[in-house]
Amino acid sequence: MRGQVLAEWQKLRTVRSTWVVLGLVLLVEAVLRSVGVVVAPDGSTADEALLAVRPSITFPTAVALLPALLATVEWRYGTVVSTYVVRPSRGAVLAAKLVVGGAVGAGTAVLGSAVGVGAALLVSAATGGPVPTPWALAVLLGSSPVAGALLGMSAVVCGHLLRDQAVTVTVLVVVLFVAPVPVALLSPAGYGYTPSGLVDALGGLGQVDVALVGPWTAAVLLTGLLLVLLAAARWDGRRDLV
Amino acid sequence: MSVTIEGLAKTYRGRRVLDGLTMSAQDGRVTGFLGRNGAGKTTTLRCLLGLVRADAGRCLVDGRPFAELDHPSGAVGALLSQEAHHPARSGRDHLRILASASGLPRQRVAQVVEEVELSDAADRPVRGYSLGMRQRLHLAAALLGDPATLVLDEPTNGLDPPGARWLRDRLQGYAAQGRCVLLSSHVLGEVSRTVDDVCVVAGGRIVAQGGLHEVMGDDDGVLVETDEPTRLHRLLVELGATTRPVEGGAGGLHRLLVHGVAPETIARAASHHGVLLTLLHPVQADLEARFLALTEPGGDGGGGSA
Repeated sequence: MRGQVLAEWQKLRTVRSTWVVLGLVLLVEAVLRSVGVVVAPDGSTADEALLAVRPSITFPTAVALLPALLATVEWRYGTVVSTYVVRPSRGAVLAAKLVVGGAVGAGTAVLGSAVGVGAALLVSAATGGPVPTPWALAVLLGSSPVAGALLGMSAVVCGHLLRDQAVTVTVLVVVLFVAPVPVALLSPAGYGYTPSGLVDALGGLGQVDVALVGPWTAAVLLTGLLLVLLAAARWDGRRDLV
Repeated sequence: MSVTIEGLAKTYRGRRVLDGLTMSAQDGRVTGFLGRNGAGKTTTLRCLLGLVRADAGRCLVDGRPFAELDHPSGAVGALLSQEAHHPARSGRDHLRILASASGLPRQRVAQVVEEVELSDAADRPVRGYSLGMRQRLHLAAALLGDPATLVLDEPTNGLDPPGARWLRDRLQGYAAQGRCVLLSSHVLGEVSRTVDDVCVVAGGRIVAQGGLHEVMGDDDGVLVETDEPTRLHRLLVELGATTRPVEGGAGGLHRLLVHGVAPETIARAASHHGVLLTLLHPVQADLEARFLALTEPGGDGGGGSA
């Protein structure tokens, strides 16, 4: 298992696109969260300042992207055959991808949050804007690896099930980025139960945004989503590689 | 016996690809697995390696299903595609990933890179490799675990003559070391120079199996071309010959492979009865002729493309 985990990490590490994607994620988070601070209403409170530095609308998709690529790039280039020839247990391969995908999701989320919040705080300091309380910031940053890991593992299973890279990325973009917007407009409470809303809720934003559920509920619901996907992957394990 | 396949059956979307296929490949020999495109060769090898689930039958490597082997990469090394690599990744990284997954030390990568003579290119992205270099890379991947059995799907596809010769020498060398080498191909000329044994598949079944010369049989004959194949056939049958239509005729001409009579007898009979012959060519027993006879619908093997 250790060797397979190392192999999965090497698959990501040894291609330049991984680092390009990571760089773009950090850049987008820094820009969008800084903009969030700038456009926050005058006289913002610390709570409103926390809402301003919340994960950007692209954050869940960005966090899920590398784990999704980890699962689907093998199908795109046909290396999945080599993978299963040296490690015939599909469960073991999926488990290794879950470990790496979860870790990469967590790492991306931590880095993205740190860079995004850091940039936002710099902008806030420069413009004299309000600053969230240290505790609220700690919760926001501390929850990011949990959210990232759960999103990352879910993205790995999605890729494992769908196999096609373009289809997988499209599905993730629709579910995590496109769909939450109309849902939030039509039903703010409904947005709280979307994966993006649950990521916000995990970061403690439910304390200041009445549309969101509590962090524990969010963690349970995101974990439940992952378990449903894993059940589907178990059912799917007998599919042929053609 | 290193590889045993018994009663393998597989249907894809109502199309029977394998129909009770039974074959074996032995240690210390290169076994050619021959068949036309779509005959079921690749599906058989994928079933052997657990990539495709058979509807019936079983595939065993050293008496056990591949998926149940303790050290799969030490038992079987496989080359199933020349394109199964990330183009932006270096050859060495490609091999390191497989070595990590197999629990093999990094030094093993350097050894196989050296063995397939790819050292100069190993640190370059695979997208810049020639077909022959990619073939060497995937052969190196198959050799990583120092396997007792090599399974190669169409390994000579697209290789130039020096590349094909290089591969042939390697494969025969591995068999000489006592390994079992099973390769599928439809490049018959190359196969006939490489293999010790052959298994011919047609219609999802094995239609011939055994030593190369045993399967080729006594297939000496005479290739003739005429515009009156039916009349010529009757003439030759009266002389005690057998004939079989073969591909290659054009412009209203038809070719027959004739057995049992000498070329001069055919020429005299045709001349005497006014039958035009545009080709009269003695042919020696060869794998291609035997292969065509075995795999043509209604041929010796009763085969046809699955």
